[in-house]
Amino acid sequence: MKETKKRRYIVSTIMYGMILIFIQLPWVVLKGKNYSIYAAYFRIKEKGIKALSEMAASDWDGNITIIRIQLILLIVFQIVIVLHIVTQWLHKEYYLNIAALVVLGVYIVVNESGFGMLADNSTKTILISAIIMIFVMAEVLIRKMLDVWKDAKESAEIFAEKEREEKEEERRRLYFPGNYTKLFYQMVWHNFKYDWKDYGLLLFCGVIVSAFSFAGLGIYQMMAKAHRAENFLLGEGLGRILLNAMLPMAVCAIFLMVFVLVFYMKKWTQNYSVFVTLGIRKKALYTIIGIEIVVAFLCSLIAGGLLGNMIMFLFRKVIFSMLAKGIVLSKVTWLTYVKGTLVVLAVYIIVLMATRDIVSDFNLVRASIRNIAKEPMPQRRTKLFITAGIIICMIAIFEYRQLRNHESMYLLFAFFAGIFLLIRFVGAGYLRRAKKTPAYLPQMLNRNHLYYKSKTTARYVLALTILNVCAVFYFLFQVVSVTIAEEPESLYPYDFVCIADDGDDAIFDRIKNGYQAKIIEYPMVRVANADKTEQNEGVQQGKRPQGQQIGISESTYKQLKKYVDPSYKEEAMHLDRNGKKIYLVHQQDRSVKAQPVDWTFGKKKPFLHIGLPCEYYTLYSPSKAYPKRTIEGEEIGSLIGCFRQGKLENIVVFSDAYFKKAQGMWKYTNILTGDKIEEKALRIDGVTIKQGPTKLVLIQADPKYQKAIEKKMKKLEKNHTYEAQYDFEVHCWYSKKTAVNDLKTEYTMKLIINTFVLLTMTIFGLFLMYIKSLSEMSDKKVRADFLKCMGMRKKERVSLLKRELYYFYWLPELITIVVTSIFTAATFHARMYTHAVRIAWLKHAVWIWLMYLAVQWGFAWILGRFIIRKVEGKDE
Amino acid sequence: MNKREVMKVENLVRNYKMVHSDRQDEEEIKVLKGLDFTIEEQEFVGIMGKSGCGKTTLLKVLGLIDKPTSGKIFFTGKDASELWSDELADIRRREIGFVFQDFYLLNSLSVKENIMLPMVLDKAAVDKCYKNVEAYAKNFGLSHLLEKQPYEVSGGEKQRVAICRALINNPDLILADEPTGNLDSKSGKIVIDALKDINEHMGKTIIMVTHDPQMASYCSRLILLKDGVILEDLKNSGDQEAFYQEILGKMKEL
Repeated sequence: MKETKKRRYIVSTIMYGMILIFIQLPWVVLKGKNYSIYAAYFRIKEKGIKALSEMAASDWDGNITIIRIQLILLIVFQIVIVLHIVTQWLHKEYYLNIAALVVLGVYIVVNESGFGMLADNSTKTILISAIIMIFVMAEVLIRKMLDVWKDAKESAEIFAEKEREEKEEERRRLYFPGNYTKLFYQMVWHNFKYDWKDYGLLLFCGVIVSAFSFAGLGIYQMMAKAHRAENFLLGEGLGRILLNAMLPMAVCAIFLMVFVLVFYMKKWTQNYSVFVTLGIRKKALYTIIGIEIVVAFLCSLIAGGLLGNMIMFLFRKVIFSMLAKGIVLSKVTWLTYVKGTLVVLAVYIIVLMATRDIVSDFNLVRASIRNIAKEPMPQRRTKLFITAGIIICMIAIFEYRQLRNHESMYLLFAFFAGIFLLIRFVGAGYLRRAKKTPAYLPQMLNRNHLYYKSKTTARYVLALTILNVCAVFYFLFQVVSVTIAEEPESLYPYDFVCIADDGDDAIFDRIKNGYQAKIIEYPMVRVANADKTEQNEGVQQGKRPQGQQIGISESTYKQLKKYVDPSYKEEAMHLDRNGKKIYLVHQQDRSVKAQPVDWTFGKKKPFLHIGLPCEYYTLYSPSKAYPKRTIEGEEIGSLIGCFRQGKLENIVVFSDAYFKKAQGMWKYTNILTGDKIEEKALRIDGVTIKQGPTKLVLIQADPKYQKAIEKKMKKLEKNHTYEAQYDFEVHCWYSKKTAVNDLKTEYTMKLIINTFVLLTMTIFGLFLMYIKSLSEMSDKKVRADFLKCMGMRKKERVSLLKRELYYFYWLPELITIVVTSIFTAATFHARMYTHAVRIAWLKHAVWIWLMYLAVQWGFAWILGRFIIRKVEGKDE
Repeated sequence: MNKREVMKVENLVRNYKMVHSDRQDEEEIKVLKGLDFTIEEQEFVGIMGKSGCGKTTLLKVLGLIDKPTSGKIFFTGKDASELWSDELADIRRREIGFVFQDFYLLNSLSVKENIMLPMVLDKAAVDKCYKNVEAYAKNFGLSHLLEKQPYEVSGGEKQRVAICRALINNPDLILADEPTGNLDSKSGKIVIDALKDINEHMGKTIIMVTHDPQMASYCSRLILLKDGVILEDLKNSGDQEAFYQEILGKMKEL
């Protein structure tokens, strides 16, 4: 203890000694010369303002008090630390080091107005104070550390010794020298070969997942530069199409992999539980499964990569044949392969985590009964869960049909959760009731699997339903909506659409006169919405990317409407003078998912601001710049052109009276916050206020002048950099020709990607039925032998097998038909399809539905024959 | 001369949690309720009792496959609760041989490979593996079956294969869980004779679970279990028929 105290004193003396020496050094610079702090004080006292540099002199008011206080504080600080050193050596503890710390803190605060302001090297004076502070704090800490140093050192030594002993003991107790002989590897190989088919299934599934990952990412990269608004992270353009398709596919792929791996792992643990009972070391066991999984991963990666490349190649051919010269596809680079590898790796990790429990339980008996144990049927709170299921389903459907919810996949998944509850609990209720009736016994064998494996049955029915619904509703809807979508040319009534202001008049005059163009002008205001992204940013993220829309008056709307639809009859729009009530035109084609104009959480009432986006505005700022507006009416279609497919440049219609007021709002609206600037003097054009676009200029021109007009538009761009600066997607002019080309690309992409996913989902569904059948094959064989012995006729046994299999065909199909009908109607409502469009859609879809049912039925029939042959023998 | 203690059990308790499929609640089932006994080397101990009395559970715990809920198990003086899982694996591989009612032979491996599996897992030399397999196979009349797969041989032969596998690493203790349960009387007789022979001539300690009094009469000692506790610990004086009659008498109490 004495020694520790001595060490402490030495440390304090050295540290504070260094500080004392440091303080005496000439570190204050005045007019280029170095002074100690005392000399600096006396120099300023003596020479006054002349002692200071020009810059410092301009800041100083001539009052020397503050630097005097600073000097006194420094002297007090030094006295305190000297006292601290002395009292330490006298074995007294007054905690003067803490007092020194406080004094130094005050000194640092004062320094801001003292030497920190007057010295040429003001930053350095602050820095030096900080360094002294660090030294003082270090002294306090080191002293504390010294107090516990001995104990800590002893504990560390004891711990290290214990650890060493433990390692030594481990080495001694687990000593197992030598290598496994070739016989071991032979046996592992034989064992592996015996269940090769199961491994093949795992490989096949891995290859499919891997191939689709590579193909999906590769196709995305190919198309990346073939479209205007490309930003994968923001979910725009082609990236959004791909993401919409890839996300559910990835979820399904993971489900499928989990099913396959669970099946494989169960068999694996059953096989290797004998090894475990006979005393195999853990390391050897985990190495075996590790190698199997790694090999499966690598094989699926390589084979999937090759298959993915073939799909990409096929895709390229299809694209070229469909779009001819209309598109230039990018090359697929190594980045796609890296991303694809990471995706496949992620899938494997997720899947392994999901099956971890199975691998960790090698109990011989448990492993053997795991597959044969009866699954409990839900008994309690059945009605509660059924009610919950119905409510979830109803809410999901109701919300799905709302335009504002963007046909969210999450709602579809919520619906599936509800469906699972219904399958599980309604099924359980029905079966329990059926068990009590006289009809139970004749049906006992047919329905035995439902009673025996109720949970597995419910899961399979749900999984098959999900795959079916994804295929014949979600992706089919996208496919068919492209086929019934408007002709791209019809969606752009004007050759050029410009968002301009009075300063651009000269450009338009030249276009009008030089190229005999027909120019129509309408007044407009820029309307910014609070959130343009569909991501849910959460409450912690204040700033959100804002969208930009086009605000027009009711009269302008009517004129524009008449132009695109001569049969349009004017109706009262019920818009108010205060701009609370608005009418929206979502400018998008039929193939685009219904979406709100503003994505702020809740989305029922959009947050719309008159003017350009305000950079400082956040949803939680006190500003009322983005008031909630009530949607009095809305439509989906093209009024001036679907240039940003409903995401941006939608039409917001105000009453004529409010629009007039809105036109003048810029004069007092702060461009950064969106708030009203009350003081007139502060309204400085270009600094605190900015007008933004005022005119919607619509141009019709001869195609031969297209290029020439485009050149003129480049000049327009120079005047309107401010909109694109905030959002690169918002332009001041749009060309019909470019938009039509883009839309054609988008249609093709949607068609191909969604058809691709639809087919994948179909294959996944069939594959799942196949896996299910394989996993039950051995049990079915045993049962068939038993039933044979019990005298059951072959015909009856075959009929039993068929009935069991077809149950997993008709039940998911039945649920799918109901779900698809409901959600198709909901989507019609959300997208505001007219009756004629709905009929056209159904005419296209019905053929695919029938084909889908036929494929499913055909596969079930073939699978049935396969199972019967395997279970009953080849003569069947 | 005092014989070495192979297995010592102190206040052994094993409970299971059971989920009722109908009621969906959990119930704790007390299978073994505080057993105490000692097994010395070269003993042939039978464990007998009604179905569900805890025989197989006891055998699994003794075989270090399952862990007791409480109480201690000492295997050749070592406290099993203080051993690491790999040490338990080493004991199972080298010092205990298992014979199960359901054989637990791997269909993926040949008869020969099944027999030598414990040796292979112990990294034994290849030549030694083949030599031992041939010796044991000859001893148990399996030489002609070595290249066959387990599903190609009869039940009795399978059990003899399992016995060979249990003996191949020359363990101190053989644990047999109803080894004759799945066999006809002739095959059962062959198997029990083999076990008796192993006990008497090879000097192995055997613990055998059975519910057949005829088979139990081969044992030198019989522990009768009832509802998870030891009802009786009987010794065989050497007269097998008398021991059989005694067992029959005690069975009425079970």
